[in-house]
Amino acid sequence: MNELLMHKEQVNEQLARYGVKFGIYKNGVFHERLFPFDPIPRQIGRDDFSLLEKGLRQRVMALNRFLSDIYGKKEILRDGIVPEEFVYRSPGYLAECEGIQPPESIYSHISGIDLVLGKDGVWYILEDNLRIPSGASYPLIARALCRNCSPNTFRRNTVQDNRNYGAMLKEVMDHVNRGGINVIFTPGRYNAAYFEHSYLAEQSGAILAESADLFVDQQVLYYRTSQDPVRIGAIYRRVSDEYLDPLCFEPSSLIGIPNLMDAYRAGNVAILNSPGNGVADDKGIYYFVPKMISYYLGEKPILHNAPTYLPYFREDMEYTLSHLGELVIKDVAEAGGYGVVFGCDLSEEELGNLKETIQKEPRRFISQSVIDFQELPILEDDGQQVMRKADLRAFVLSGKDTVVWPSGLTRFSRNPDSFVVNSSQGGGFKDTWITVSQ
Amino acid sequence: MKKLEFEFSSCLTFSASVTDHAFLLRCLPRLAAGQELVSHDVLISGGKLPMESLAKGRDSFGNTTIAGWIAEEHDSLSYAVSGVVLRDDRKKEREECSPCYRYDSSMTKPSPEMKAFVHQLDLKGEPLEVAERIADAVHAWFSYAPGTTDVNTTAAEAFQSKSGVCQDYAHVFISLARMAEIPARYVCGLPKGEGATHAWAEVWQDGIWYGYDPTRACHADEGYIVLAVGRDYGDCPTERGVFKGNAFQMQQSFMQVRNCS
Repeated sequence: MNELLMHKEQVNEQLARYGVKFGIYKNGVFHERLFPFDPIPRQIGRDDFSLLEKGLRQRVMALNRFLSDIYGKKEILRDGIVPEEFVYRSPGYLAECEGIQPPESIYSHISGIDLVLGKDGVWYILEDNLRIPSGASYPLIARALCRNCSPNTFRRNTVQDNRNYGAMLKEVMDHVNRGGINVIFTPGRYNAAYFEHSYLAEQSGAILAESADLFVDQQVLYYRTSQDPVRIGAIYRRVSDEYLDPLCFEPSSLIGIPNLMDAYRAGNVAILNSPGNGVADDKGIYYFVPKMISYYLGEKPILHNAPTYLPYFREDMEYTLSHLGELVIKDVAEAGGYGVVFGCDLSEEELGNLKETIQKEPRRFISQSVIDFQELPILEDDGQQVMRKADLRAFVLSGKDTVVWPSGLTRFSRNPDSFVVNSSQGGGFKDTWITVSQ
Repeated sequence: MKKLEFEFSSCLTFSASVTDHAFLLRCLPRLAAGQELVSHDVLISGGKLPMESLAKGRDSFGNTTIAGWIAEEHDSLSYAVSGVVLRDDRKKEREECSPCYRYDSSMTKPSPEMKAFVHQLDLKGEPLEVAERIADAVHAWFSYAPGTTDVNTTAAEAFQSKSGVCQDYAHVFISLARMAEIPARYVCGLPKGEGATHAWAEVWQDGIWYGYDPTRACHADEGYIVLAVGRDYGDCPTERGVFKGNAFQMQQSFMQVRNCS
């Protein structure tokens, strides 16, 4: 392990050379930042991971069933498990997708589930990301670089190989492909995750395309080449729903593909992930996921949600207002670490204002108990190790089977006082090792 | 029961040649119980567009769509539809109401003024009675003034300005109806007479959608042909398109509906 740690700088230099960067917009200006890599891996034992795997598969299967139900028969609403307005007032719900049956009935092909390990030794789900979760490419390339820099580390430790992510992705795309090639559709060079788009295309053998490379004719999606256009059977799009098709969603979108939705509706192309998934990873819907698991699968949820309160319900409103100082409040419409407020950071006046806002718009917020999650060691530049908060984004792929990638993106906060680990908030990342005891 | 003969045509002309033109039309009468499309003709032309390359489909709101793609340079796109429709309100069938028609949509979000307005109307009774009162109130509130609003004007903006065209009347009507807990949807279509396409609204009661025309303060009866419905205008424009090229676009449309002899 020490040998690997010696190579911290080298790995980071190579990551920079490969363009492993993270773009963020600050005050409307695009900044590109390196995504700092910490060489001390997060290690999860095979037995612990098997339990995680079971729980994650269960959760994603239920979420896929939920999406299929919401855009289809709506039984969970009729049975009163989820209040109707949580679905129809969710910004992620798209009426434009009503009644569409995606290939193989899979909505969330690539799910990024964020978890933390509590000090009580229990894994808690923080949120589900079912739209276009990013991040798999970072541990993927970091592992490859670490293996080059320090091959002995991987001879001496039994770490489960994670370099099959591209192959897993290809398998999912092939499974839902409606005839034609696989494409990864990127908004382009100035997207925060452009490195990832290009790297995943390389790893999965898909073509990397931008909107100018693609068009729909007679309900079939094509890729332009110097010769005849080539038919596309599956498109892993990294463009968000609202910009996907200017003739169906936001009309001013310049990064979309006109009439893509018409081709999709006709069943001629698979879109990964399906448009409209945002209704299931809404922070308000999160509360109901354990109920979905019992409802659709008839099973007890294996993994726990963080204790969550919905001010929409009277009891939860009362609890939230009387415990505001010790809760974390999340705006359901925000993502990427934005719209998250810790009650303990607020002054009396701010607490009062927040209470008023919550009472005015109860549907807009959830409140959660602050989970005291475990810290992981980080190697500082001076060689010292310090402890920082970290979470784990696990990647669950749904094709013929629902499988969990035996790795994951571990993100940590570089600020010792912060619980927010999102990369858009300036955190770093680690590789995640699944270790087999000898 | 009414047998209606209709024609609807529109021509888009560009000030310079354009390419890579994708479009989606909702120019054919919607297929629904109570409105039977007895016969119809479609003619669409633009560049070297072959008619057989047009793709008919159905969107999530149940509207008939026609999608097309013109890659080569062209300077116009025109479409003309005509045919015969049998309208019979007694043949309407009970259907479930999609819950999306009960919630605010992006163009019909009410302003605080609209909330106060609906409160002040003190609406009580069956949905149809309430809808009638709302239609009258909207009609009285607005003065019909083309050019004061455009296709992107929201219900709240139109309400504020107290003037607008049929689209604005329909949006405000829908917004008020949904606040009164009546499911309501936007309708784009062809009423008896001639001129431009028209917009009105429908409200749902006991499984049936009933048409109201707040612009004319009347029921949208069997003299109205429905082209497309949606939560608001954004879901069901008769024509939407994008193209490459540096050109202005001009549109001329005409429609006519009359009793069929």
